[in-house]
Amino acid sequence: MSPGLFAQSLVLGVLTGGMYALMAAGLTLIFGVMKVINVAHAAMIVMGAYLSLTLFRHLGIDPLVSVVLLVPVFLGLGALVQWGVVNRLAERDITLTVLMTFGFAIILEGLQGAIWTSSYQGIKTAYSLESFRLFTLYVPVVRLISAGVSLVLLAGLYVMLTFTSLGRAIRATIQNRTAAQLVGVNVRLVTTISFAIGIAIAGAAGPLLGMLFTFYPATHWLWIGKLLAIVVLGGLGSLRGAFVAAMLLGIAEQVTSVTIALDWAPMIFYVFLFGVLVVRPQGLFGTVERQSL
Amino acid sequence: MRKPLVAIVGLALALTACGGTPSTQSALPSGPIVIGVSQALTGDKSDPGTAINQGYAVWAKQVNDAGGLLGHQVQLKVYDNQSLADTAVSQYERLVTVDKVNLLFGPFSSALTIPTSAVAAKYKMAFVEGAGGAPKVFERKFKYIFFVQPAVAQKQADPFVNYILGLPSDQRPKSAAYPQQDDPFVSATEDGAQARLEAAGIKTVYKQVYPPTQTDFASIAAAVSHSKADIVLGGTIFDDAVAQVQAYSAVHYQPKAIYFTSGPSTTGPFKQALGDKVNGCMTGDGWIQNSKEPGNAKFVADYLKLYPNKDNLVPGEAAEGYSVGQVMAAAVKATQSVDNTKIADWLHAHKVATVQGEIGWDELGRPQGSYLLEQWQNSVMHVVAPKGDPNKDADPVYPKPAW
Repeated sequence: MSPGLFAQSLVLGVLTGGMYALMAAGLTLIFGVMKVINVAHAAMIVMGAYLSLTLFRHLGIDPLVSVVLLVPVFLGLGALVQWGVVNRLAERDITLTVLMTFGFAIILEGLQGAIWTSSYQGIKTAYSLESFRLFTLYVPVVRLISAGVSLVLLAGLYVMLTFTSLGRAIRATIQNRTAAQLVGVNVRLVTTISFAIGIAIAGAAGPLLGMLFTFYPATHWLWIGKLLAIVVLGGLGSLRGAFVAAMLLGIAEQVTSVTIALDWAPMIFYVFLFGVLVVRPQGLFGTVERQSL
Repeated sequence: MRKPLVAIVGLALALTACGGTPSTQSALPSGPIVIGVSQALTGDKSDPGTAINQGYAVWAKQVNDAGGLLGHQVQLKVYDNQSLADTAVSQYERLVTVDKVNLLFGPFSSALTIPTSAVAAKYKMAFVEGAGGAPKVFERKFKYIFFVQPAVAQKQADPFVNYILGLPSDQRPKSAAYPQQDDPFVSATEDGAQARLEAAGIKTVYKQVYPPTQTDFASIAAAVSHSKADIVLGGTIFDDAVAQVQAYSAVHYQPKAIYFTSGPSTTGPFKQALGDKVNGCMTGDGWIQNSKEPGNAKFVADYLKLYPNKDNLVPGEAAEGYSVGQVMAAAVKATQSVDNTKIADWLHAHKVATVQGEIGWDELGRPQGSYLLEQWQNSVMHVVAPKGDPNKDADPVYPKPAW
């Protein structure tokens, strides 16, 4: 393989990885705070893509604008779902939430099929096919934009988690729920807000997914597999871990598609996952919880 | 003890009855003649699948307006299989055993025709289909399949390969790329073309198979572009043909010729998705909108009346669907019945005139003709080869215009 092609696949990998990071961020945040694996996460992202498609087709609203429009909608939806359903189940038996979100994913898929049919869709704007040349490499504009938007949103999330009192409360809840409660953190409220933020990020990722990839109601099964691989590889609950893992897997996927074979690319996620879990079961940035003294 | 035993015996008898008795309705119905179809109306094959069904509908309307078939109105009973083979199989089971339809029309495409034709064969129903031409369709030696296109899938790219090999040596491409979907029709077409091009010294510089669920074509475009292939033979169904053009165009890759196994012939949706980027794209098909075949002008006019669109385009698959109707009508009229065994026997022995030309079948239902090479030029689809074909209305543009 020529060095040029390798460099090209690296560029695509980094840009795609940035997008994966945003998609995985909400999933890992929700797990961190609630220990809930939101199996419907990818279905919600695809929902965001469909809503953006509809806004674009019927009202001419650019998908980048719909990123901004969808965030508050998904924030509210997330809070409602967490408060109304997930929280009640999580308090009774955390494993039930996996079943519940699995069911929710199927409901969303069915809803999307009923409204938009199961035909393949894509959001194609005037700048969809633009690219610019960087030395010998082509940089697709849409991919650069979506990576940029992802980075901005992730940076905002990072700043919020690191420097605000809400962020500190969320991190405290992630680290030790009981201790956080003891020092006066309203854990219930923090959990609802975190879940809502996680879903809002999914909503923001939707239009970007729609611009970059073909989507249809059942695509979320392909995505949730990839996203779970990313968050487990990065260490469940670790935002930094999800970012690094997303980059790693984004690059590995693109390089594999061009150097080995296209049908190996989806598998590479799980090859990495198995490898890391054997050597470091807590993931790249995960911490080992001490179960007993 | 006795009750379970009775239940088991009862169940066994019921199962035997299900498996053994064909439930074909061979007598003419008192009401309309019902024709069953399970079609890819949604899912990854929805554009061509919808187009075939439009062809069925135009045919049915014409037949009914003219007084019906043997004096009976025809009625299409259609289910959407979402492009899923398992769903299509159970829908054909349902059409035969529950809905008790009189006749069957096939789905799009080979991937769905292969499993569903077994259902038709089980119940001895003639399976007249316009879009399943892969070798696997005929391998099981069913006597009830009739593929209504000029030739089988392996021959689809022949006119393109003939054209390329006929170019003067200084213009002839030196290398080719074969990005292709994992699909039985696609692999038959691509493998046949690749073997002939390689034998003639045209090097394969890229060959990759991607799943039907492939959603990202950027890395494919990067690799094909870096391979500097002179020509591309895209093994595609529809959405992936559109995605390939978009991805090549985004990396400014300009092959001298690009051929897609399927996609460009679904004219309306292809043009709508790609605009001017359709120009130069080639495909193999048995039909062209301004074909001089008898009955074609009326088919085109009636299609555009039923399905008006701003470009006034009729997709190739609609003509395939319409031809399926023409073939079935000819057999029903000739045998004066909806007895599927009589219909199948008659079709094995006769040729039928369709808008794709006259089609005849061998003992396994394989058509015996050849395809046309078609190319989009100035946003219109033209027949560009073979030389001497009465429908040829333009010369190939090579190298193709830049994207």
